[in-house]
Order: sequence, then structure tokens, then C-alpha cells
Amino acid sequence: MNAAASEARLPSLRRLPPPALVALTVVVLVLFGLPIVMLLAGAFRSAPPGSAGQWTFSAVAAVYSDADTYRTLGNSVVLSASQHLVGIALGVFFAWIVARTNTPLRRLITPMMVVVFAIPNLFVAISYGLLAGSPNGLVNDLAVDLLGGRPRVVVDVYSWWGLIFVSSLKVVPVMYLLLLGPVLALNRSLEEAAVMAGSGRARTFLRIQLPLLAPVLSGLAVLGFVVGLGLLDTPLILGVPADIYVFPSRIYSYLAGGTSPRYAEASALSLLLVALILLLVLARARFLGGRDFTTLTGKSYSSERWDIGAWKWACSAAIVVFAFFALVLPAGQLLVGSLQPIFGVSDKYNLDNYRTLLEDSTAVGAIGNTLLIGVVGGFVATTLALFVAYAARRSRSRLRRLPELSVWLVVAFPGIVLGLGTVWAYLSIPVLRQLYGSLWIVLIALVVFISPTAGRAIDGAVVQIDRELEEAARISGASATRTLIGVVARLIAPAFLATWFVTGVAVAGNLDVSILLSGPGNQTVPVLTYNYYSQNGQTEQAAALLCILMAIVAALFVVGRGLYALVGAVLAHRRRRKDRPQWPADVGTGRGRRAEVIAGG
Amino acid sequence: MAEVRVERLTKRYGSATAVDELDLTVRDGEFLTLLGPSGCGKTTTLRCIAGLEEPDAGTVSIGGRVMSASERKLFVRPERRDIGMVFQSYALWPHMTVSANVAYPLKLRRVPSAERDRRVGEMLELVGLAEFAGRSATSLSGGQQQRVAVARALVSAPRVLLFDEPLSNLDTRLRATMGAELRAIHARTGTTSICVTHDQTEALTLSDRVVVMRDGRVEQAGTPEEIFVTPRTRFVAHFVGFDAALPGRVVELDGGMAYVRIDGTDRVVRCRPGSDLPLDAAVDLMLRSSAVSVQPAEHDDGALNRVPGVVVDRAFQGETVQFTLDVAGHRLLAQVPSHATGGQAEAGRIDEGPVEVVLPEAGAFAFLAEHRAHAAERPAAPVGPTGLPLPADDLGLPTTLGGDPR
Repeated sequence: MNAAASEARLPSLRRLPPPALVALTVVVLVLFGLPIVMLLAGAFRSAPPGSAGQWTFSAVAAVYSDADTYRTLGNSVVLSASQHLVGIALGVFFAWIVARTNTPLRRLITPMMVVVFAIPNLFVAISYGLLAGSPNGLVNDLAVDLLGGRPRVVVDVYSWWGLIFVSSLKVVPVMYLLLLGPVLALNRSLEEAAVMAGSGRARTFLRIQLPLLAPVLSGLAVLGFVVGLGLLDTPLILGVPADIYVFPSRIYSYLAGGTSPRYAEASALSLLLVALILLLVLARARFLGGRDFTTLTGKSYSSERWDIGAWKWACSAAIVVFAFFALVLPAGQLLVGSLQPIFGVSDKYNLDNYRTLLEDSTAVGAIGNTLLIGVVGGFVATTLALFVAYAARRSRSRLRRLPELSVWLVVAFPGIVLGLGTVWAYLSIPVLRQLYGSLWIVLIALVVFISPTAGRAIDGAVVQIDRELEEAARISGASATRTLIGVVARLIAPAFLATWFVTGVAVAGNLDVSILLSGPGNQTVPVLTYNYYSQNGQTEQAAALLCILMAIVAALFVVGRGLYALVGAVLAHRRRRKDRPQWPADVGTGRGRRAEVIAGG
Repeated sequence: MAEVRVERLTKRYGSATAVDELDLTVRDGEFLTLLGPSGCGKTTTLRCIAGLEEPDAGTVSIGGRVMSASERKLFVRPERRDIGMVFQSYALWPHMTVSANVAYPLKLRRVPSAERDRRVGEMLELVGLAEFAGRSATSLSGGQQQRVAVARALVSAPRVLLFDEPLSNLDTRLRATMGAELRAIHARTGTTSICVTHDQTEALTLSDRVVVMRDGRVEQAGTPEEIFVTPRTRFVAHFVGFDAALPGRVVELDGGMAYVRIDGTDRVVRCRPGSDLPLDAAVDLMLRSSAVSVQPAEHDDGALNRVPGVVVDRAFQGETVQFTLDVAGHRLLAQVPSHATGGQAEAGRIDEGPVEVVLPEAGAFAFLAEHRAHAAERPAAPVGPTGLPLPADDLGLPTTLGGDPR
């Protein structure tokens, strides 16, 4: 076995001709590299983007010598760590219920988690702001009814506890979905061996299963912690009113808080955050050998479930409680709130808020913008991710890794930081300045932001396409392009559509990136919602707008699924009609054309 | 129909040379097999011919047309080479039916649909899958998928047909039938065919000519019989099942035969020299364990080709009895027909202790022992029930051929 042997099967054809690869590399470098470089430079400029200024250390010096910066650092660490501690604990717990126990409601967990995962942070944060931030929300209403007295804030979500609680609600589904595979893949026989050796169930869980999961858990902990450091929306909505600042909200306050935006300071603070994230990511790669533990999925063992006796009712209760707080309560409050003409006045319900919104050109424009961004942005990001993944897997050129690396570098740049970098890039460079203030800049920044996510989803699908399937097409006489369209595209279609939908939803609900880029002319629903909620006090309309957004997403999902099923059924039907052997009697009856439709289309 | 010529073909991966100035000619209509262990460069050679790899040096031509000539920067892409290929994984497109898979090469060649349907029908008929035309390609069994792959490779009447480990994914019984079918199809179509395998049985049954490769070069080329019966190097001998070896020294050369004294004994074995041997050269005597026989020690009279040995282990294997022998400190295997097959009665009687080992004259080859270091690092191939070395796959060793995770 020598090196040549193992390499004989490695990258073979120049699938993407170099010009295409070069073009891809340039596009990716401009899209992904430019904001990063400009942000770096921006920290050392004395003037806002696009204005003449000098190079200076004053912003960096000011930010790094400010005690508030380090308080912010502390807050960020506490918030991200605590929400992920809760998230991972509950994630393991729910994954274990699904994988191992006979809990009656366990089948509901995965659909519930997917829905909670799909709901934007903004939705939950604003909803909790309404629920428990004002005297008129459902929670405080109820509390006052029980305790008596004047309407007042009994439970205040604008606090550390509120912030951690609401953030954790959104972390649980992420951790659950990433942990379910590894937990299912845990080798059942290891567990059985421990039981045979005389170890009890609880002991087996603690001594065998948890250690087996340890690498996955530690990998996820670091990854989650890093992502948590960069989230803006929940801390902005629930933390800022309580004067709790974390990195992203502090960066935002530099830009939106004072009389004039302090770009250099915001950039300097961003760099600290990015450096921290990069450090953690590199440390993780070093200590864990760079392996991606979250993809440890494997064969699930259809093993006998553990009868946990009466505990199964407790576990069911846990599922119900989680669903109540993560789904029912926030959705209910938003729905109720959106139907109240004056928030909290509960004796009159009508559709006035919706009517007002639909008559308001700003709101209608924002809905249109968001739809466009979701559909187009998701598509562009998925397509770009496909090309990047394909180039990295199939090309033999030295360039092939560069696009992939650039995309992955973006992971270290939280939404607000990326937005800031985009402002720098597109205001400082004359040609690109045309785009500023248009919807396109929001679209571009969101595509860049979501690309790593799209990449992760698409890469898995590209890997699964056996290279020989493509080689067989080439040998059969298909050109590289034809192979890509006729074989690869067809095989990748399901993954492509799923990724398109997921990234589209994520992009449509994103506040972090668009908050800096979206102005009066190019507003998106999340930004407008935030403005309604926080600045204009139009909480009812914020609620109605969020309800509209979620309704549209749900409708798109249903329609998309329906169309997909329809296309599948039509193809299957045609195939079935062709099923009967037809040679040689049927020659020349035009059936070949149908075969062509199936094969090529 | 075409002749395939490969001249000074070289392919490197980083610092490793997979194919090293290889010269090869496949005659028109011939079925040629590239045989060798994993990493010998056979698959790379095949892929260079297919155009799936771009060679670093040398030329490949098919039917007189140059397909790739690195020195002239000439490279014809695989889709322009007019070849058919059967992949190890079959590589059937899962989103197409059986007939759509087979029709695809014709579609790309813009064959009118009526003609296309006719030829696809013929091909499916040829491989016996006409009634599966409308089924999804990946819903078929392994053997059926293999046939679809063959039909797809043949349908456009390519000038050359390439097989990459065609039988390796089939079970033993299917392997035999499929091998015979491929042979029959070749006889009918007469397409020049090149096959790559690490399995000597596969190579012997399929091909007109076998080329044994080692380290990117041709080690020996010849008909299956030549390769199997008269290996010219120790490597080839070992690879085609000469699984027993004894060290010795050449004491006499006479009449095309060599006389080798086995180290540690005074016994001399008359055998065939594997190559030119000087007198007094240190050699390895290579034999098939199935050609070694064992007799009770009382017959021992110091005659030629008889050496004393001790039975270390005796294993009844049904049709044969396998003796593990100690000959002057050297381990030697003997595969003796058992009394179950009416073979040597002795095999039933001999149990343990001293015996006389009878070595064949015609089936024993002496090779210069310069490879001894090489031999030492390579453990003797484990022996299957048929006395042939097991393919590396069966040992669970990593190979390029079997379970490559890709």
C-alpha cells in the first residue's frame, strides 16, 4: 500500500475549467474578503466610511482602555456560556428521550424543535418583551390576577434572568438537532456491556454514555459559545432596556446610540470580538484535532427502549412545558397582541392592526423586500455554496480551497460585525457606493452571512455523490457542463431545495446584519418590526408584522412541499407508464421523447 | 474496434509515481487484463486510457488516434474518446430508470429516438434484463446492476471497453457466472477490452492476455497459462499462487534445469530456473503448496527432490489436508489431496512427526534470492481452501480496489 495507491482515486478530472474557478474565486474574495479587510482598516480611520480621514490609533486606544469594554466582555461571556449550558443540558436530555426512552410524547420532539428552530430570535424576543416586560402582557396580567393589586410588572423579562431564559429557549433546538445524530449513533452494545458488567442504568448513563459523547459535547459547547457571543437580536431587545450590554449590542450602540455614529470605535470593538472568536475556534481545532464532531451521525440502532416507568410522565411533562414556553406562549402573545387595537386592552379584538399595516406603503414595501431577500438570497447563497463545495471537492487546482476558506472565515464574523464591514466596504469604494441604501446591499450582506450555513448543508450532499457517477457520464459522452446539469444537479436537487428554504427563512428573519444596512428605502420586516417595537412604541403593529412574516413562511413551506411532491408524483407517473417493456413493437411511437424528459429533465 | 497503444506513460501523485514509463499494446479485439496488487498502478493506467486522469508524460492512442500526448500538451477529453467503461461501483444514475441509464450514451450522441429504443432493447436483451427496463436502476441486485453497467458501456458500440474491477463487488458464485458472461459478450462483440483486477482467477478466466504490474511497471506479460504456469519473476510467482518457498543454493546447472541444495540440508532439488542463474547463487525455491506432497519417512533414500521434514500441524480441510511442515528450520506448506477425494492414502495415515517431503520438478522455480529482503517484509499470503492466495480484500487490508471510502 503506497501513497500512489491511495491517491489513485483522488481528484481526477478538471471538472471546473480554470476560468470558471478563477471567476468563482474572485467573486468569493470580493464578496467575503472585502468587508473583512475594510472592517480591519476601518478601526484605524478617523472619519466615517466614505469620508476623508486619517489613519489613527485613537479609536482603538479609546475602546481598549475603556472599562466598559471589559464589562461588556464579561457580560458576553456570562450570557453565552449560561445559555449554552442550559441549551446543551436540555438538548442532551431531549435527544436521550427520543433515542432511548418510551416517553409517550417523544415523537413530537423533533417537529417541535424544527419549528422552534425556524422561528426567528426576533419573534421570541419581542414576544417575551410583550409577555413579561410590560404590565399589559399575558404573564403579568395573570400574575396580577393571582396576586391582586394594581397592574404592574411582576415578572420582568428585561433582566439577566429574562435574557438568559429567552436566549436559552432558542439554543435548545439547535443543540438538540445537532446532538440527536450522535446520541442515536451511540453504540448500543457498549451500553449493554456495561449493564452486563453489573452497572445500573443511571451509572451507565453517567459513566459510559456521557464520556462517549464528551468530544461531541465539548465541540458543540465551544461552537455554540462562539456563535452566542455574536448574537444581537435578543440582547438588543431584552438586554439594552435593563442596561445589560454585550458585544453586539454595544457595537450597535456605538453606531445608533449617540448623536453621531462612531464607526471607528464600533470597528475596534468588533475586532476584539472577532479575535476572541478566532482564538476559540482555533483552540478548539487544535485541542479536538479539527474534527467536526457535529457530523458524527451514524446508523441508528433500532434497539429496545428503556422503560423508565413513572418517569416517562415527568419526561412528557418536560416536553409539554418546553413547547409551552418556546412555542405556544410566544406565538399566542403575538397573535393576541396583533389583534388588540391597543396593546393590553383585552376586551376588544379586531384586525385593525393588519389593516393599518397593509395600507402603509412602508410596511407593504418591507414585506415585499423581505420576500425578495428570502427567496433570492436563499437561492443565491445555496447556489454559491454549491459551486464552492463542488470546486473544493472536485477541482484539482491549487485555487480550489480558497473559496471554501473565505466562506468559512465569515463564521468568525457575527451579523452586526459583518453588517459594519459591509458598510465600510460599500461606502468607501466609489463604484460600490451606488449600492448603498438599496436593497441589493442588504441582499449581498445577507448572502455572505448565510453562506457558511448553506455550505455546511450542501457540502454534505456533494460528498454523497459518488465520483464514479460523474465519470460514467463523462465516459458516456457528456461534457463537464452537461454532467453537472444532467447528473449532479439532478442528484443534488432535494438537498438544494431544503437548503434554499432553510437559508431563505434565516435570511428573511435576520435583524443582526440588516439593522445597519436597512434604511427608509430598503427596510426589511425584522428591521421595521424592531423600529415599531422599540422606537415608535407601536407594539401592536410589531406583533402583527411578525405574524404576517410567519404566515408567509408557513405558506411558502406548504406550497413548496406541495409543488415538490407534485413534481415527484408526475415524474413517478411517467416512469410507471414507461414501465412496460416496449421493444421492439413500440419502436417509433415517440416514447423515446418521454424517456428524454425523464432522463434529462 | 481499435488497438490501444500506451507509450512511456507516467503518472505521479506528488512524490509518488503511480505509473512509471509504462509501455503497453492492446491488440484489436483482444481482452487484456492488468493484474497486480493494490498500488501497482493498474487502475491509474486504466484511468489514463479513459481520460479520467491526465498523464504526466507519455502518449495514449486508440485506433491510431492520439488521445493524450503530454509532451505536445494534447489531451482528448473522456467524452470524446468513444470508449465504454464499467465502473467498480457500477455508477448507475439513481435518478434514471434502467433503460434511461442505458440510453444515455446514445442520447448524447444524438441517436434518433426510434433507433435508440431499438439499441437499448437489444442491449438489455443481450444482458438478459429486458423486463427490468422501466425499473429504477438502483433497485436492482448487484449482479443485475452489473449487467446494466455492461449494457450502458456497450450500447454506443465503443471502440474500447474498460472494466475497473468488474467482479469484485459480486459474491463468489455470481462472480463465476458473470465472468463467463463477460467472456461470451466479448466473443460476440469483439470489442477491444481492458480490465483491471487484483484477483488472479478473474484475470485468468477473462483474458486473452494478462499483464502483471508492479510499482507502475510491467512485471510480466503473457497468456493466462504462461503467467500461471511459468512465472518469470519471484513477484509474479508469489502473486499467482506460488505460496511455498524454501531457500537454497545452486549447485549445478544442466540441460535447462537447475539443481538447488536446500539450505540446512544435504538434499538437492531439481527444478526450473526462473531466470538466468549463476552457479552457487543463493536462490528461493518457489512452489505451489498443492504441488508438494508428503510421504512417510521410511521411504527416505536421499533421492532427488526429496527432503526430510517434520509435520508441525495437520489440518483436515475436506478435499485436501494441509500440512504445515518444518524443513530444516524453514516453514513449508503442503496441500495434499485427502482420502475423501480418493487422493493419496498417505494423507490419511500421516499424522505428525518426521516425514519425507516430495517436491515437484516442473512446478518448482528457482529465483535469485536478491528479493529476499523484499520477501521478508511481505508476509506469506494466507492460503484459501483452494490453495490459492486469498485476495488482499478478504484479509480486511486496505486496498485501492475494495472498500475505498469515497
